[in-house]
Amino acid sequence: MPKGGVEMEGLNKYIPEGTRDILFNECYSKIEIENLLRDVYKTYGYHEIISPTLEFYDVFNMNNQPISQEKMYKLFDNRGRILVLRADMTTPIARIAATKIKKEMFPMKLCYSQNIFRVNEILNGKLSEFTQSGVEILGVEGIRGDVEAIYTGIEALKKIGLKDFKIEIGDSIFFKELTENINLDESKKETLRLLIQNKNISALKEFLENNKENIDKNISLVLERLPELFGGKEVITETRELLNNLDNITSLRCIENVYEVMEKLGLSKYIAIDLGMVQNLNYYSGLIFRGYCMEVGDSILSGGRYDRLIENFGENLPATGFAINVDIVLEALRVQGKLKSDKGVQKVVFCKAEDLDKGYALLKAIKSSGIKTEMALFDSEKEALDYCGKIKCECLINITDNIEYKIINNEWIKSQYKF
Amino acid sequence: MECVKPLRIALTKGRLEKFSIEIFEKIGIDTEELKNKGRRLVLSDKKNNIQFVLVKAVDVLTYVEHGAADIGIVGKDTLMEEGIDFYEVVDLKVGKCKFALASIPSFNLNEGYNRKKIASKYPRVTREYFRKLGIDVEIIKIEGSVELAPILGLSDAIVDIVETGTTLKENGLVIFDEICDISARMIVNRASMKMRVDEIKKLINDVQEVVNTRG
Repeated sequence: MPKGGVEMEGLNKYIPEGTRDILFNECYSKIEIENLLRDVYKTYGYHEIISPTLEFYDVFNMNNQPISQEKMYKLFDNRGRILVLRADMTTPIARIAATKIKKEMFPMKLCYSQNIFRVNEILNGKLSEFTQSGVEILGVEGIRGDVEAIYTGIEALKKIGLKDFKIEIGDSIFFKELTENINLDESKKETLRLLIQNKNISALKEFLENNKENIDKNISLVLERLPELFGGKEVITETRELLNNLDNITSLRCIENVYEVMEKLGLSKYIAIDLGMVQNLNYYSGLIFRGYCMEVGDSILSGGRYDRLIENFGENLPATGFAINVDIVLEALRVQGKLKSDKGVQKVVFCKAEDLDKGYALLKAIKSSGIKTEMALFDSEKEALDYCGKIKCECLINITDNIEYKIINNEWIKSQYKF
Repeated sequence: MECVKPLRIALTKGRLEKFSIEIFEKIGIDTEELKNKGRRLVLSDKKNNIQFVLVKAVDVLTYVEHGAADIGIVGKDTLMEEGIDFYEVVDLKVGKCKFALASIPSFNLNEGYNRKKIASKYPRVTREYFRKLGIDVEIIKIEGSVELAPILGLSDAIVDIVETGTTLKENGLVIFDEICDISARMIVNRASMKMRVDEIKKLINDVQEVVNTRG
């Protein structure tokens, strides 16, 4: 029989790995950021939605699913069906778009700010529960949707005060177009794709050398350069030259067009191009983008076009969107010294228990003049004054005795108070 | 924009350390502190604004993944075993060895219907190798001296790193299959690659050149 101690207590004082309690200033900052982001989306005409934390596993179980099943938290409902804790927001929104929104409503812009759950490897320092704030633009093809998404993303990151970030854009179609006519089977193409995605320059060279009879010379030159084709607009020019102005590569034009719009808007300093971004080809179907900043090693924003996703739920709707990882952005802002702290209370009201009515009447009056104020939860004036010291509040009103205390030169100075 | 934060490079302690230092020396980085590190953990080249840290192989991945280090030098074996995608920009062609399937001479992978037991320090590499072959095996994780496992009858065979093959030979084991070649790689954090393009591109080119000229 366990005799108390650890066994009796169990885990009741602990939280699971990958989760966290967010307190005081950090909580204030996080909510503040979420609100600022929400403001940006809403002022640009996005509608906020809330989806359930629990979804059926079937919602996420599709061909080319972006989140593998071992990364999802699963449980059973009372009828034995498999549920998952929401593992991303794009998939539930695709479900909603196809099943809940009337056809004539599209194009439609939605936004959200919700928690996402992912199973991580043990002790790898990543959060299993984190907040994503983002948008989905449904029913719009091509540059209109792409520019809307990227522009909104940049505005959102600017609004929260993030400095020196970059949104890099690429196109998942680019690799497909490049390799369309080369004589390699799918598994070899996948090997090639991985070498490019991981910028594995030396192995890529070797691969291309070994398969040179099957790949057109110009294409091979571009493929070889692909891991290094990132940076500014010059990337497009270089690729054009390498391709000998082959004009059947439409995705290149696509990236260029978006870049030019951003340039005209004066936002090109936030934009980089990476033609070597070739991830998740079966999920993304066009322009993809990712946001980075110096202070954190993970991407702060990710998004792109997924025209085939909503098909899984029975409707054919082009779509694009992005998600900002609020917790990572929070960390970046903290390192940049950009986090604001909550404004403290300016006045504290004290009263004896029998005067609580008077106390709260005063509290309400002070608050209505826009001053942040709180009721002292103590029985003695001494304790209330000590409390003011602790929270760095410089004014206490004792409404029972009609006295006002103010700190002048580090000392409490008493004066008569009239309500 | 001028970046004041030093470029951080995480090096794998031990076998790869010497090779890495050699390469960085050749591209004109001041490795004096690295060579005379004493008990210091962070070694700098102030002139080139570079900091080195020496950590265990797996930790190189962790530091680089989180962006605590921008660049890492680590063996392909560790990359394969941890299964995390990195920009794997240069094959340094040093610390060469290979993954191999080895056992006592009487071992036969295709014999009988009993599920074979395979001991390894690299369970993920082992699992993927046998999945590709379409063979169902039981994997036993061993932390060191893996060669012992088939000798003592704990496992039917092992998957391990083989450099010269001497250890295997001295213990009466033979190689049944060579799985793949391994060497040291230079990896780069995804955000660093994008935020410090010029510095890192230059470093990659310099290092690649050293590797090429050494042949």
